[in-house]
Amino acid sequence: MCLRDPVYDCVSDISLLEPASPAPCRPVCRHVRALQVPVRRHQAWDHRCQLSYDAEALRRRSGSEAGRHGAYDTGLASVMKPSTASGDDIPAIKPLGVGFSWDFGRFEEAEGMLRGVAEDLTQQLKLSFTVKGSNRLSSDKATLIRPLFRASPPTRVTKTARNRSPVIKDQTKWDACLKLFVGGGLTISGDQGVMMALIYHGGIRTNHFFLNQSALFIRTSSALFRTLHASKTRINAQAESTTSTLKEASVQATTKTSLEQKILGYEAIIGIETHVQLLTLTKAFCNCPYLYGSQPNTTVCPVCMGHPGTLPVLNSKVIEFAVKLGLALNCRLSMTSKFDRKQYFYPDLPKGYQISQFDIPIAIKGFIDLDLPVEFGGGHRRFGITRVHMEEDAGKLIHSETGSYSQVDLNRAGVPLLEIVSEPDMRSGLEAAEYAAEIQRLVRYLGISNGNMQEGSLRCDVNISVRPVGQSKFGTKVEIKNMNSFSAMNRAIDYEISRQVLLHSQGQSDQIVQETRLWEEGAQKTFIMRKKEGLADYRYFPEPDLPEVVLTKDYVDKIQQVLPELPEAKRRRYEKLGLIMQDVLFLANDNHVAEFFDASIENGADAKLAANWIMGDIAAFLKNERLSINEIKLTPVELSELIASIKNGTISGKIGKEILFELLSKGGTVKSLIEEKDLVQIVDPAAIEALVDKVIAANPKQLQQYRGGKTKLQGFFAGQVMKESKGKANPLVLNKILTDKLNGGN
Amino acid sequence: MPSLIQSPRFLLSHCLSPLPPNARSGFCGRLFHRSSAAAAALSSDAQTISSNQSSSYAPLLAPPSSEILSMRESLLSRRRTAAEIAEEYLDRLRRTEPQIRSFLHVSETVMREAEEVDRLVETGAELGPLAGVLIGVKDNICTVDMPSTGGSRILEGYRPAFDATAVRRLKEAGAIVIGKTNLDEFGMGSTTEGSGFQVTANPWDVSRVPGGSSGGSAAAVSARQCAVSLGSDTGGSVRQPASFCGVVGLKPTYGRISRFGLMSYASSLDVIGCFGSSIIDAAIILNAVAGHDRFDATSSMHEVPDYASCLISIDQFDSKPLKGLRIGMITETMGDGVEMGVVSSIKAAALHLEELGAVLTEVSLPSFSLGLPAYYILASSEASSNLSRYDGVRYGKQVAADELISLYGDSRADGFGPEAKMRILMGTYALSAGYYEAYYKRAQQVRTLVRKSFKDALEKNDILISPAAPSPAFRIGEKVNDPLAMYAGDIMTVNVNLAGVPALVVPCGFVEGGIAGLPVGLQMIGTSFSEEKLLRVGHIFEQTLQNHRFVPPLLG
Ligand SMILES: [Zn+2]
Repeated sequence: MCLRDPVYDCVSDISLLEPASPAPCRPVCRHVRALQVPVRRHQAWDHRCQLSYDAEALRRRSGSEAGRHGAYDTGLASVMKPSTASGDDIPAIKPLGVGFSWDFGRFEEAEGMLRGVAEDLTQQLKLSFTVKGSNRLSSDKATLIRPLFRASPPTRVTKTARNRSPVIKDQTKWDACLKLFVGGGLTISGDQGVMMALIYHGGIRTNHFFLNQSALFIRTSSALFRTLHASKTRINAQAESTTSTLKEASVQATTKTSLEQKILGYEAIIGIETHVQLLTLTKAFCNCPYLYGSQPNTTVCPVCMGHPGTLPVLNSKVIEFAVKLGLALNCRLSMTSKFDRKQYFYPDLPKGYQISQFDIPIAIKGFIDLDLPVEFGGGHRRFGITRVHMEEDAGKLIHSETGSYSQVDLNRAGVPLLEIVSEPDMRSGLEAAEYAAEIQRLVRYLGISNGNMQEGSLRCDVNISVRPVGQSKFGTKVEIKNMNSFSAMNRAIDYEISRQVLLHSQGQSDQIVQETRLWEEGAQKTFIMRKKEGLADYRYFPEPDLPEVVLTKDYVDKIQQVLPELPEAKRRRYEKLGLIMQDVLFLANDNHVAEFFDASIENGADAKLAANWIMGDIAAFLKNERLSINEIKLTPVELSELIASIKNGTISGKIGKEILFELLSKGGTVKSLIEEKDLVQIVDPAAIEALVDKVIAANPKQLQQYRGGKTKLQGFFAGQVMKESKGKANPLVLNKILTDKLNGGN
Repeated sequence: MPSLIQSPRFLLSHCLSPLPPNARSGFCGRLFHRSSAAAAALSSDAQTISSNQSSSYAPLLAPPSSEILSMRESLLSRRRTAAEIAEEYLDRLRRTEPQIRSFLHVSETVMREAEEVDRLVETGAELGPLAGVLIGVKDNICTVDMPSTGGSRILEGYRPAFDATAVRRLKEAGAIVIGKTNLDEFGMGSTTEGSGFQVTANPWDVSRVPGGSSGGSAAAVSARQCAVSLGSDTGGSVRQPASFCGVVGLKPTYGRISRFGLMSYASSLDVIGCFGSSIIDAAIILNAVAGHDRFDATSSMHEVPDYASCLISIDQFDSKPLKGLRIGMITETMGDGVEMGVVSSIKAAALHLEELGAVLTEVSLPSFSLGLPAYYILASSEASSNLSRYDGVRYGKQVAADELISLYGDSRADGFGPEAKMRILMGTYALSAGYYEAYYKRAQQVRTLVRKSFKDALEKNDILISPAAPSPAFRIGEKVNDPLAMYAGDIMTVNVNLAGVPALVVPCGFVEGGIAGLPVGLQMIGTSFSEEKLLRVGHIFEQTLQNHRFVPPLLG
């Protein structure tokens, strides 16, 4: 891999950030203004959706004289609001795309200027190009514009009113304040805090019509959801996908049938955008480490805070991880890829743009294979992957309880993400949730992310539209966010499908509009968060601070060679080992479990037996102790040893279990435990015969009864012999001898 | 002409070995013994040149010599202390600053740092190559513990947490930052009138602009308020003020000097450059700051030669030191719209180069006039994005507001000046959906054309020459009402930025104006990473140029 300057063409002249050791950040706290934004939160979010302004509308507007004195056209009204009257008849306008207040005169100027400049270019190049849908600047217009170029004196700012909100300049006070708002009792964790605030707000703005509709669905399925909710409450994140799947099985099955009835005659089209946070030591473009849950604004530096003069330097691990994922998703890699700036204003975005990839993502056109759970009828699915691209994460906003201001935590700003965009191939909540689960499996297998949904390391935004079966045109797309588990995804999507189908079937499909909705766990329904006003114009352009990334075949081949066996390949291999699908899915679900299993069978353990031990007693132990399989003292070698010892008759199955628990909790080897506790099975018929004789001799009364026809007493004798042998007698040999003795000997 | 800076200059005939230990041996000796024989041999050339000039002052004068080396010599010979020298500069600064206004901030620790240098001298410790050298830093280059505003009200009072890599390297070499120099807001302008704080005057005529955007840095060196200074060049911001103020200005190859710590205006064009009163000083500064930086992915790993040691001393010259050098004069820069005085100065300079043995031809760059619109589209586009970070949220001006939109809107409306706003608007348009192809993409295509035409011309020629500006310094306020005319003034320089190649401006003559004439600079353009060649040619040119002394009358 090398880097190439797209303009100046210097190849491999450029360095990458060394990812080895995160340097301790220079204390920059004194430069962090309390990072507190005095905003009403809804305005903040309104802003986010509106900040891309509609260039076309702007152009129309600036061209129309009438527009100068009020009466905006629709496109413009959505992006501009008149500020307080200035006494002038021309209202002051805030073009949000530019980020400062300005009046229309200047827009004309800027546009005229630009057009003049472009005219110049055109004429000189003897080329003709026209700006889409606009007329060339006439000479009249040019003279009109000229006088406007009267530069006003530099804006002298006299006095600005003191900030009314409490801006805390002192670091200790800031910490205390954070504790107050974030730490003390009130548990706002990560995205949840923000999301909760949003939901709250979303609820207020929800259209009555939707409220009624949702109520309807809640009634039909609330019982199911409640059960599910209860079962979900204390599942820890790591075990989330393993344990909950089975538990929820029945619930989901029921949901599925009820859903199927509801959407009869309709088809849902689902596509998913997944953000995966990468497990790099340092952030994507600076040397800061990222640790989930750190005190706000402690893992920041001038670079990730967007200070003047700072520049991004790419962390080479990001490329490596992106290539890994691209290969794992069977994608075509772009051997030359570049970064672009995606521009919008928001307080959690320090630079005013996000470094992302626009037209040349690192990987495109792949697919992912997965097996649906057996409980839902099973089946194999292949979903298309449209693209995978690299980008940086934004910070987080923490909204104050009172809602009068919000605080910005930039710890997460600059953390590397891979965004995976799927083809709209999913048709149900289950498929979507399984797709997401497979992505989680994949990134964990690859070791590029912890894939933890609760911490926001894996975030899914789902696009859903519904159309009557047979119709080729897609329905209106609705986006859902804020699902922090797979089951939530499943439920949110099924809920949303039902909502849309109902609107369709009632002839109210026009009520389905392009919008973003949030899933609320408490209410078990989706709420409107914001309406989308046309297409956002993020004004992408190539990031001039970063060279292009040029991959070499060698580099890709090397990564390909060290790629681990992926979940799909594992499942197919396990199937060939003769395991049933349920076992296959269980074992391949968690890469650590799969590794453990693989290591066991490599040491000669019988696959079926190893699977049984792992899925049975070991899984139960893990669940009880809340451990993951790589945290226990039992090694795969010992498990295979244990299995072998039972198989060859050295110990009995019963003793095997005892030894297993010993190994799980205390460690050690099977051999030493057997020796230490003298647990070797007695298989010598003579020895067993002696024991049998002894027991028979000691129980003449029972012998008499047995011989009198009460043959059930054989069990009693067997038990006695076992007791005598301290459980070590081989049951088969024992029974054979015992039967002989009881029946034969006089 | 008695000069305030005489004292160090006259020391040059004694050449000890005041050089930093890193292998610059021999360089000093070759440099500073001005052989009278060589001078005599060249005097006929000099006559030819001076006959072209209208200026009648300035009889045979010594060519400019290095402030840095003479200072170093003074220190090592214990003739003067760093504190004395610093005091002298500060005195001059205090005296001239009310008229020139080139500094936005003057460091309070200069004397303390100079005394520290003296302590090192006393202990006999090894001195850095720039020990005690007072350096002015353009205010869009970050300096720790000193305000760095980029000339914008939006960053009023902002103090960065880090030094720009260039500044750090200068400090490591022993330099003392004397202060932060004025500029057009974020480097957007050609006069320094676009500063959010003050207007800087030209030391040659205080009713005139020093050029821009690095006007403060150029004026400060011209008025000898500091020995050398750092500027930045996005579309000519080092070269045009160097020409206006009669100093040496170097715009290195894109990527030669790390941009880390330079407030981005147009990232793909921005370069840090340097000013000095002699070529040697510019070369020594370049030596100190050039080279790869892991904090700037666009900084080049290209090897850094010893720029200063490759300069040939005048006594080593034969009569044709530039024999065989192919020089192309860019036809497009010598025609309409360029003032007659400027044209004749450049022609005289070209003639002088010819006398020194160079082969002069005229070169046409067909894409030359395309550069200007392409430059303004690209620069504005990148600027609109680079200035988004100034939102009043984390640092800088914050205007109290009840809602986020007003917080952004009011902070930025209050903080940015009109030129910055204009360029943000232009850039926002150029990048908008539906416009992108027509503007930004087209401009990038033009850029490729420009690069190619430079490449072709520089295959046939070793260096290209042109004026650095179509006119000498104009009057303050003269062009503020005509931004298009102002933009047009950048025609001489923007192409070089688009091509990413290095260019050096050397004072070459005067035109009438002011009390002592106004200086004119000669721009020399080379291929990427050919700074060494440019400096060598510039040095020969400078050493052999007779009858001109580029010390402003203000200091007389
Ligand atoms: Zn950082």
